[in-house]
Amino acid sequence: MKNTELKENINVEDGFKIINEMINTAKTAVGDNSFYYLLWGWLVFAAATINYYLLVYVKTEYQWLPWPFLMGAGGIITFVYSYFAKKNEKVVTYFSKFLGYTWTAVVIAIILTAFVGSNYGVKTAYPMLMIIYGIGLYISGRTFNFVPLIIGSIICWACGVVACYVSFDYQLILLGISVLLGYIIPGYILKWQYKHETV
Amino acid sequence: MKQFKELDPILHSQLRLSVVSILIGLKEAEFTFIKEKTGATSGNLSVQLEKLLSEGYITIEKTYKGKRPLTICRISEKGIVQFDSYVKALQEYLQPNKKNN
Repeated sequence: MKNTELKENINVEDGFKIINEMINTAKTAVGDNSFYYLLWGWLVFAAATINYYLLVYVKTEYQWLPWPFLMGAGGIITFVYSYFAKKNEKVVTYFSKFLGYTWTAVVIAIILTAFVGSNYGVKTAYPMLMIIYGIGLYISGRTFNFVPLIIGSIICWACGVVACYVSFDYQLILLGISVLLGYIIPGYILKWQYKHETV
Repeated sequence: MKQFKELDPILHSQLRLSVVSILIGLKEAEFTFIKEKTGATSGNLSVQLEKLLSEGYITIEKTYKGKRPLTICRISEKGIVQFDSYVKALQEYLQPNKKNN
């Protein structure tokens, strides 16, 4: 309600108008979260692609090396970015709190699955990782009623199931596809939408 | 003849209603955010926030962000109940024959 004249007495219609307008205003207070989807989408995509190249073409035993480097870099960038984003945050929504807890749980599950994979073989862990990626996407997509994320989550789950039946090199391709369709493309749509809604 | 509920005078004011409508969907909001969204002046907003605070509709936390003073507002339990009753009362005015649950 951008005006300089704020009335003390309002009529019933005004009351409803103010309520609607202000509730919608607060809704758009949710910041642009596309950064995280794009950062992690591209990092996982790059790690899976390099891992595939090292495994299939270079045939080195150190084919796993991109993961610790790229995921470590992602962790540091996320920590620094979220620290400054939080500092500039003027509003805390219930959604942002809820999604913060959800993604914390997803990250913990990913780390634990990677740990399980280190004991039982990575081929066992990769389908689980794609399924866990899908959980975070599904909850976020449903919370914001953002269809590309919901579709992305279904793709991650489908890739996770298919990955159970293929060799490790194909699992890497499936992982690349799942983050491309589940994180990167929805991330760009989210960024575009936020830019156009806030103009 | 149907008796209409009296509209809550605390909420039946443009700025106070705007503030409570913003806070109803948020966990918390900074003073500057509310000021920006309502378009109110700092002075007027401060007065109305004090009024809402004294009536127990909101809580206010005064703290610091770095060296900068920071005012964080949250809606209280009473504020939620009163806002709900206010919306129901408005609905009765607009649709006097419809029963509210």
